[in-house]
Amino acid sequence: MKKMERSIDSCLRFFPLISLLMIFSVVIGCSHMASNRNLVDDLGSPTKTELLKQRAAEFWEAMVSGDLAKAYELYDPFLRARMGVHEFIAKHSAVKYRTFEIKNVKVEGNIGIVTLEVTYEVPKLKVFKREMYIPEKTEEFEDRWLYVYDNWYKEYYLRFFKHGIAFY
Amino acid sequence: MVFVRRSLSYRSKKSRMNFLFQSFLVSASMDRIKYALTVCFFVNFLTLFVCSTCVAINVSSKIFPDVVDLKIPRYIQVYGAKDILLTYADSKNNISIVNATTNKKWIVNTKHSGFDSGLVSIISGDNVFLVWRRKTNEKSLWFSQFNLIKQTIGEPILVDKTTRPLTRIDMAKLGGKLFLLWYGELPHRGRNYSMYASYYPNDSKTNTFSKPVRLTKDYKWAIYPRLLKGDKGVYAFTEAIRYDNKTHELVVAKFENNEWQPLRVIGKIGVMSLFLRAIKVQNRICVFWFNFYDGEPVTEMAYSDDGGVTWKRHVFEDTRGLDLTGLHVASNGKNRLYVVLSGVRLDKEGAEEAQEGKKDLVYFMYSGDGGSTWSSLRPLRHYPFTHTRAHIPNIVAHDDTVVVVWNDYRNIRGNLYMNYSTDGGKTWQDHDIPLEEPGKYNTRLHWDVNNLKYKNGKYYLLAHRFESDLLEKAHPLFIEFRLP
Repeated sequence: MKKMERSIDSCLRFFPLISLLMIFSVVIGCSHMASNRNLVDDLGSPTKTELLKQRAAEFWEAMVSGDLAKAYELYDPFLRARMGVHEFIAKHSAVKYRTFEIKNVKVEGNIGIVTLEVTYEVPKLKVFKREMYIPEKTEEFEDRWLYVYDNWYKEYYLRFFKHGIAFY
Repeated sequence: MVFVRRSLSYRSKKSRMNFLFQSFLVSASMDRIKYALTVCFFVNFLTLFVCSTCVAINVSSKIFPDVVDLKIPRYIQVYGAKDILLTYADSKNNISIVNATTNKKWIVNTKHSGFDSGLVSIISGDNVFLVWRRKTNEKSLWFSQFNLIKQTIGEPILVDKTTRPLTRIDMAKLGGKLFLLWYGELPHRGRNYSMYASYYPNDSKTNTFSKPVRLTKDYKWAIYPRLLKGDKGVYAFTEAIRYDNKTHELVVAKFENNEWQPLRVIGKIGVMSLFLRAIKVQNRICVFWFNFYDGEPVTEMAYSDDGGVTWKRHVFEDTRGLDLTGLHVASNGKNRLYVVLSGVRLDKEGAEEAQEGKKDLVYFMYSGDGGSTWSSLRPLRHYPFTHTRAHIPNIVAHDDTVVVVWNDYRNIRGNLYMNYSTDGGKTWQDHDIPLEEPGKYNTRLHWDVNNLKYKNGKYYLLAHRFESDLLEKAHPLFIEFRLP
């Protein structure tokens, strides 16, 4: 019995430390649960920038591998509210992306600009009885990303019309 | 006993927290362990509570199930100590009054054909007065009142169907009379838009409105109505163009001695767009408007200290080039006057490409002498980037405090943000305060109606919140907050 008491006693010697660790674990645990959401107030920390880089890489990996369903999930929620995944795939399957390289990432609040180089082609296809074909080419351009509540999403932006769906 | 004795000896040497921890070293009984865990969890919760409360202001919100018609103006009114009334039209074209405190709801325009819009509502005494335009195969103006003591809605009364009323209407109450001002499209000499006025009751015997008076009879065009209650009369403002030239004039008519007096010209102005506001500051009548001169936007004001006979004008030079998307004015009832506005700064050339990507931002100006002199225009939003918009500011003032709420898109989804000054607009909080969880919802304010009210230390706001990112269906959102 005394042995047992001694061992419990020795444990309790560390009680202040254990208690402090518990406090920090609860606080850090709670903050971690909401960490991505808290980034909405983040003006451009390395954490937020790195997250954007990861998301952009994830998106372009999906585009290169032809996984348009995965790419769709990374588009902004304003697009996804208006266009279902099947419609999206049907409208965006013509261009085949071959490689990509992220050159630069810039974050200003909840707007992110990803500069990247993409190699793509449009294989021969017929649109309204007219044949279309773009041979493989490499272009550098900027992608705009939006941090919406809990994560970065690629803005659906129609370059030709200079218009996106998200109103901000 | 052992616990108490030992603990006392420790208390003399250690802090209270350490005393609690160290006290466990005296015994290994399970009771002590339970006590330790209780203390530990208490400390944890206290830490979390302090963390969560020190950053938040006291905000509560309530969302209502009706789907609001986004095109029809809506209103929030404070009655008595605690009744908050929301007036809006829903997607079924019911004009409803909802008590946000009790959730009771009344429908004003039951059993009607056609489409009701252009809603105006004011509260005076124990009544909410409502006017709206009904479109069937003809256009008509209707009135109803809601008695807050009896909690009954009066049968709608036809105001007018002779002037082909349109949906810009204003209303003011002075003494026992309720005044209406609207623009109608009944042609006169081949021109369509005129300003009409009427009052209620026409006489003490009949429950009718007076026959509409065409205030702008020498003018071919007038479309923006604004009424202001003075001490001895009601002022009707509008912009108007004479039959014989193209110059726009800002004009005012005063209802005095039981009739509308002839129009007075405040001055020649540019082409007015959307915003015409009027406010009384002590004995001074002030009017603010937004207009364009040869395509250049600028905001101006004029004031009269002699009951609208003579006017002094002030051009807000800082606002040159600022294309407005929102404008409201407020006063503390004494000599402090505030202007809050939002707009996009246009390049002088006005080229479309030069404006691309520019967003509207919220600005503020104040006067400490009732509008004679003004501070410079200053941006109100505290955010380092300008690639997201902040617009449609609402404002309320009392004593030396002024509070502004606006729609802010810094979180991409439109959220409500607030800032306030307690020294008459000279200094503001370093950080804007969100009134909802940033980035979670799409919330909006009505572009034209100032729906921020104050009473007894509380601020009340009516907005609408969309169901989803589709931004189609939105519900009335009532927010109540106190300053920290």
